[in-house]
This record gives sequence, structure tokens and C-alpha cells, in this order.
Amino acid sequence: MSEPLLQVSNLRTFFTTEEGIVRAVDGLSFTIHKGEKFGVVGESGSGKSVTALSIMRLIEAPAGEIVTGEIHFKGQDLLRLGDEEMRKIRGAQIAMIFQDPMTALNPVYTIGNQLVETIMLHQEVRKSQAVDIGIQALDDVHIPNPKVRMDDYPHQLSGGMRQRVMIAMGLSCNPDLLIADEPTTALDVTTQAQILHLMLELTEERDTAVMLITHDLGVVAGFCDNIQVMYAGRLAERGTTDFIFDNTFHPYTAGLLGSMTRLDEVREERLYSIRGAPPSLINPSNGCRFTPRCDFAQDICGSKTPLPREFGDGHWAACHFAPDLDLSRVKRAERVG
Amino acid sequence: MFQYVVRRLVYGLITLLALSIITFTLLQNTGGDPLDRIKSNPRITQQAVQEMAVFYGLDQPITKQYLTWAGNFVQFWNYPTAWGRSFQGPQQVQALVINRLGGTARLMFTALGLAVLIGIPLGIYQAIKQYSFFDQATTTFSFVTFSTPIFVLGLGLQIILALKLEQWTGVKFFYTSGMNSTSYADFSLGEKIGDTLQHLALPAASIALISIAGYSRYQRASMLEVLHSDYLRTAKAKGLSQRTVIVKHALRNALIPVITLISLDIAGVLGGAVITESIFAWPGMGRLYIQAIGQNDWPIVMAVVMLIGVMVVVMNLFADLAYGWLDPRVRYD
Repeated sequence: MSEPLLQVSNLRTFFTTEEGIVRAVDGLSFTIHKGEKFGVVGESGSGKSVTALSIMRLIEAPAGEIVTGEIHFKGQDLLRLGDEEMRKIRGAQIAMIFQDPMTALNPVYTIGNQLVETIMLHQEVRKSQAVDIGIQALDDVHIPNPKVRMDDYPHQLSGGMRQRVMIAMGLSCNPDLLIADEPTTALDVTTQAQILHLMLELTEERDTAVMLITHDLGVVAGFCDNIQVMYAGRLAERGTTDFIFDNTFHPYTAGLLGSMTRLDEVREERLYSIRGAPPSLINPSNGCRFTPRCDFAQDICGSKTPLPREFGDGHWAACHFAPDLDLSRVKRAERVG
Repeated sequence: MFQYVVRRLVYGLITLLALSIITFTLLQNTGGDPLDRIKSNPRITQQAVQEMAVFYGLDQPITKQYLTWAGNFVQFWNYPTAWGRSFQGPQQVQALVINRLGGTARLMFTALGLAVLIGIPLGIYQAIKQYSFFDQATTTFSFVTFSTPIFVLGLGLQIILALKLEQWTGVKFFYTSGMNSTSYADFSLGEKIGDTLQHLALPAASIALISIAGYSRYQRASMLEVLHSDYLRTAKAKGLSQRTVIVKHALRNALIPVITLISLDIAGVLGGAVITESIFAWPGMGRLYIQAIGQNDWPIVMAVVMLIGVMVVVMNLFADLAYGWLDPRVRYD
């Protein structure tokens, strides 16, 4: 594996609400290497987006706050940068695209305006050059008639087209890392596949690392080198995509895999589902946060927090009983393709 | 676009026609008779009352009265007779209304101008500094002024800024009644401006204070919505400075809903402000038409209602056009 690009250590991001402090991300560490396609998977509220926004330092103060941790990006700790220095990284070296392309672009400015704005902000070019770069960027994401489309307003484009524009905008300054926060969730399935394929193609070409956030294991399967499964603000399991799909050690990952549908399978019984709902992150109980929903829980799970342990080859799991559980009755899906 | 404007203007004319018929009908059915006051005077003979009724055309059937009034009203260039006579004296309605229009415009546009120039930036700043001390303090102030009845506010300003301030300092800063001093005609230009402002300040401030509270609340809410929008997060994620994010990406979106509010308030300007005009003895539309309603003096009421109607139609159209100018999603076809 090549050199580390982004190293997050012991990140804690909390939100102050009237009900109490929400520990949205609670002691998370991971590394993304240069050019790596890194998937982050988990249910809503597992801390995926908050992790991404923490890296971008876009956590909204005063409610949200990065309490502890270090985020090293190309050798410097982003959390120690001044606002001005951080702005030079955002959009230029780390770009981000969001879940809902319908609302992610400003409705009152043209595509071209918003694209050129980004390019001129981070590159020493004249307006006319920036326009050319913008047209090229739209062409790269396979938008037909890019020159004409520059003058379109966001509402004149479909959701898939808008997400292409977002990708064009994100990649227009050749970032080292692209954070894609559920980029296909709001799109229909055929468009999803196209967008994923496009992202893979463009980032492979440029050797851009991608942090792909999703709750859809099917999406990461075809895209990512490594997967990190998060639960309730913490790491559940991390490893290569193949390993996670074939040899998961964690009951939660197994549950996620087990609840996937497969096209090539005739199913006699009901689809597996993980019982219960994610816990509140206000004053969470001691111990493993997955305990109440876990089919394998024992006494120790409710009292002692399982720390992530490495089982070799970059495979980490946070479960007291890893790797000894027999998860086969839960896990059914195997990696497709 | 041109077609759209023409179509809207045609609809506007239909609206005004309907407005005139409905208002006229209502005024005819309020009970009482425009000549009641004259009839109750024992020294005026039945004969004289009859002659007056003929003079004003009140002996004619209602439909005929309406048609005569409407036919004359649209010929507004026949100043000053076009809008008929007041039943209360020798005045022509058009002269009376236009005379009051100046006073009303001076008061209301000053108040509205202040409200927009202070209220909108205030709301934007409150939103940017949400929950700060400044936000909390000004929001509290807004709630207090917004929930204070205007007569309390007007009287309060009179007592503190006119009466007490003059007692403490010995200098007269503000006047509490009228549009100008009686010796206005003899003043130099500088004195005239000063005198005008001294008269205008307090009544305009009373109205403006309440509007500032309203506008700033509205603008704050609209700005907050935009500040929490996805596209603003995108703008920040691009690395834009706070200033560009606010000025370029937030402001234009946040102004869109407020434009409607302001446009409709401009439409209401001609209605004047009855209470403020009464407290500050300001010769405005509000007092004129409230008196006219009380005396069944329907030509005045009709004229004022129709003027307000025209303003509402025009400003509504203006608001819709401004909307399209600010928001490319709005199309006129």
C-alpha cells in the first residue's frame, strides 16, 4: 500500500443539544492512503457524515465541536490550521460531494458560474481559462454539450446530471482526496450505477483517493478497496472489501451482509433484519453499543467496551469474541462481481 | 414576458372593476344616508334636502349612480372634478385626496424606507450571529416593539423625545404635530428642511420601529433557512471565504421571500396610518377616509379604496417580476 494521505486518530466530535451531549463520533481512527478507495458504511446516525464534515472542518459551531483527535493530511494536522489555511485545502486538496444533488447547487447561479468560481478560487488562472477548464470538467463527467450547459441553472438539469456537475466541481482542482457523502442515495438505481462508474473511472485516472460514505453495501462492493463499518459513532470492523464480505468477524457487519438481497438467489424465508434500532448517542451505556441488538451478546458486552483489535493484514474488529463467533447463520450474502 | 405583463394588467383591471362594484355595494348597504347630517338639522327644509339629493345625484337609482361615478372616475385627467364631490362641503374629492397623498407619501415612504434599510440588514446580521448576545438583545427588542400598540409607541416617543428632551436640554428637537410649522413659508431652504425633518421624525419612527421589528424577524428566519441549506454547505466545502459565502450565495436567496412582503407593504402605503396620523395630527389619507366612512361620504371612500386597489395590483405585479429577476426558477409562461 502506498503512503498514507489522511490519518485520523482518536476523533471525537460531539454536539450539544438540549437533551444532552450527542457523542456522534466517539474515538475513531483510520487511515486513507494515496489513491485508495475507502468505503465507510453504517446506518443513519452511525457518524459517517460527521466524520466527513470533521475532516472538512465544517462541523457547525457552536453546537458541534471536535473535542479531541488529530486529522493528519499530507503531514499537517488539519485541526491545527487557521481558517485561511483550511480554506485553501477545502475544494482544492480535499473536495466533497453531497447526498442530495437537487439541493447541493445554488439555485440562483448558473452551473458555469459555480464551477468557474471554484476553479478561480484555487487556481492561478484568468476567467477565460477558468471557463475552458470548467467546460473540460463538464466534458470529463460526460455531460453532453458542456459549453451550452455552462449557462444552465441547476433546476434545468436532472438529478443525475447535477451530481455529475458536483463531481466535475469536486475534481476540477485535482484534489488528493474526494469525500463522497452518499453520492448516489438520492438517485434512481440505473443512475446510481452510472455515477459510481464515472467516479471510479475519473478517480482511477487521476489517482484520487476517495472516501465513499454509504449505507449500501452493494455500492461499496464494486467500488472500494477497503471498507470501514461504523456503528454508533465507533468502529465496528475494517478491512479489505474481499475480507469483510467473505470473513467478517463482527456480528453487526454480518447482520448488514445478511440483510442484503441477492438477485441470483431464490429465498424461501424472510430476509434477515437486525432487530431493534440504533441507540441514542446521548449518555450511551458502557460496553459495546451493539449489545442490545446482538444475537451473540454475553454479560461482558454490556459492561466492557471492546477496543478495536487488529487480526492481521489491516483487518480490525471491535468485538470481544472476534474472530471466534460462527456468523454463518446470519451472514448469507457473498460478494457479487 | 411582455405577454405576461399585459395579461396580468388585464386581470388587474378586472380585479379593480370587481373591487369597485363590491365596495360600492357595501357602502350603499351600510345603513344611513349621506345626507343624514343635513336632514337632522331642523333649520334645513325638506325642499332644500331634496335639492341637495338632486345636486349630488342621490335621487338616481343605485346602478345609475355607480355608472355615473365609474364613468367619471376613470377620466382622472379631468382634475379636479373627475372623482366627484364630497358630501361634507364644497371640496372636490380628487383635490382632497391628492392633497392628502403628499402627506401620506412623505410619512409612509420615510417609515418604509427606514424599516427596509434597517430591518433587512439587521435580520441578516442576527441570522449570521444566531444566538449571540447581539441576536438575543435585538430579538428581544424586536418582540417588545412589535407587541407594543402603535399609540403607546407614538405617545411614548412624544413624551420622551419631544416633551422631556426639550425640558432637559432646553432645545426643541422634535415636533409632535403637523407636517410643518405655521411660519414655514417664511423659512430659508435650510430651515425648511430642518423643520420638515423635525416634524417627520417621530411619526415616521413610530411606524418604522414596528416595521423594523417585523422585517428583521422575517429576514432573520429567511436567512437562517438559507444558511442551513445544502448549497451553502457546498459553497463552504469549496473553500470560499465566509464573506463570499454570505454575500454571494446566501443573500440573494434570502432576499427572495422578503421582496413579496415589502412589495405588499408598499401597496398598503396609500392607506396611510390612521392611528399615527391621529396622534401626530398628520394630514394623511388614513384620517381622511376614516372620517369619510363615518360620514357616509362614499365618493372619498371609493377614491381611496380604488387608489389602494391600483397600488396592490401594480405592486403585486412588481413583486412577481422581481421574483423572476432574483430567482431563475421562476418563468412567465
